[in-house]
Amino acid sequence: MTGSVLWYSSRATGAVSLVLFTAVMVFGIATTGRAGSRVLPRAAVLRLHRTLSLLAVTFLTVHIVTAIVDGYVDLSFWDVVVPFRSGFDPLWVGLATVAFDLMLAIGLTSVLRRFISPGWWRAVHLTSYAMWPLALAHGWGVAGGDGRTTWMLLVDVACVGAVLIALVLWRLRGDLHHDPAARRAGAARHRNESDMLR
Amino acid sequence: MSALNSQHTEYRRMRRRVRLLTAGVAGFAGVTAAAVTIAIAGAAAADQERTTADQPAASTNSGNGAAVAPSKPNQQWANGPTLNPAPRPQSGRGRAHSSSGAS
Repeated sequence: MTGSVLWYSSRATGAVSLVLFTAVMVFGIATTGRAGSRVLPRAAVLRLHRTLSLLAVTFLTVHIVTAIVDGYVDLSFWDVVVPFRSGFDPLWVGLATVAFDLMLAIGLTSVLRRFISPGWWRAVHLTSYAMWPLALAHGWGVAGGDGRTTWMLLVDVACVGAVLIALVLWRLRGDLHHDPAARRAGAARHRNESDMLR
Repeated sequence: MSALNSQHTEYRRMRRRVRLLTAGVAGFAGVTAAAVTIAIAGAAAADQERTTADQPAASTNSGNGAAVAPSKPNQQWANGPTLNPAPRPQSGRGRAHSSSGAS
């Protein structure tokens, strides 16, 4: 058991990371739709999106480092950033690598947001819609994990459901700001950002 | 002037509330995530120990025995990823040896 602690930790933190990134996605979608309530104001939604993303990155780091340091599967630190080259399960690990690279891009552009145009920041941030399904697929497909167990499949279904509900409630319905003037200003800003990207 | 003060007080109260709310929710999420991680890892380890106890012979085969894993398992892949195309291990049964992906 003691020799396997890293391996079990890696598997467990992988599952928890998926749930945390799902929460980050949900709060991100709610932020985009400017959703908020008396109980959970918009400012709190945005702060939760940021804080939970840090928490998710922490668990993801533990997931990656323990998998590599454990040494049982053939992974190196290069496999974390260069996709589809790992000796172990290259396809499914490669999907996670692509997801990790997208996450790096999203994180870096968010840290450097004041130095780049809002349009570019938004464009990079939209890749999170690719990052999250890739991470989900990695968890489902990678060998030796819990991806095909009943409880993990239930977690996957719950995560997909949460994101779909958030998309329907807050993204597809457009700007939910209660003030019409703020909604018009938001729409104008969005148009400007789109023009800057052309 | 008093209206400005009132607005400022309201803003500070709101900001404090948002910070407390965020810290509370994020803290709860962090503690829960850590607890769930420990629970999942513990359950997987217990399941592995049961498997090893029930099937001591099988546990020495590749793909089934975390508790009796070879000391340097990566030697199996030293010359490439396809040297040990063992079947995908059953979920929750221990470590992965397969380099051939899910089947």
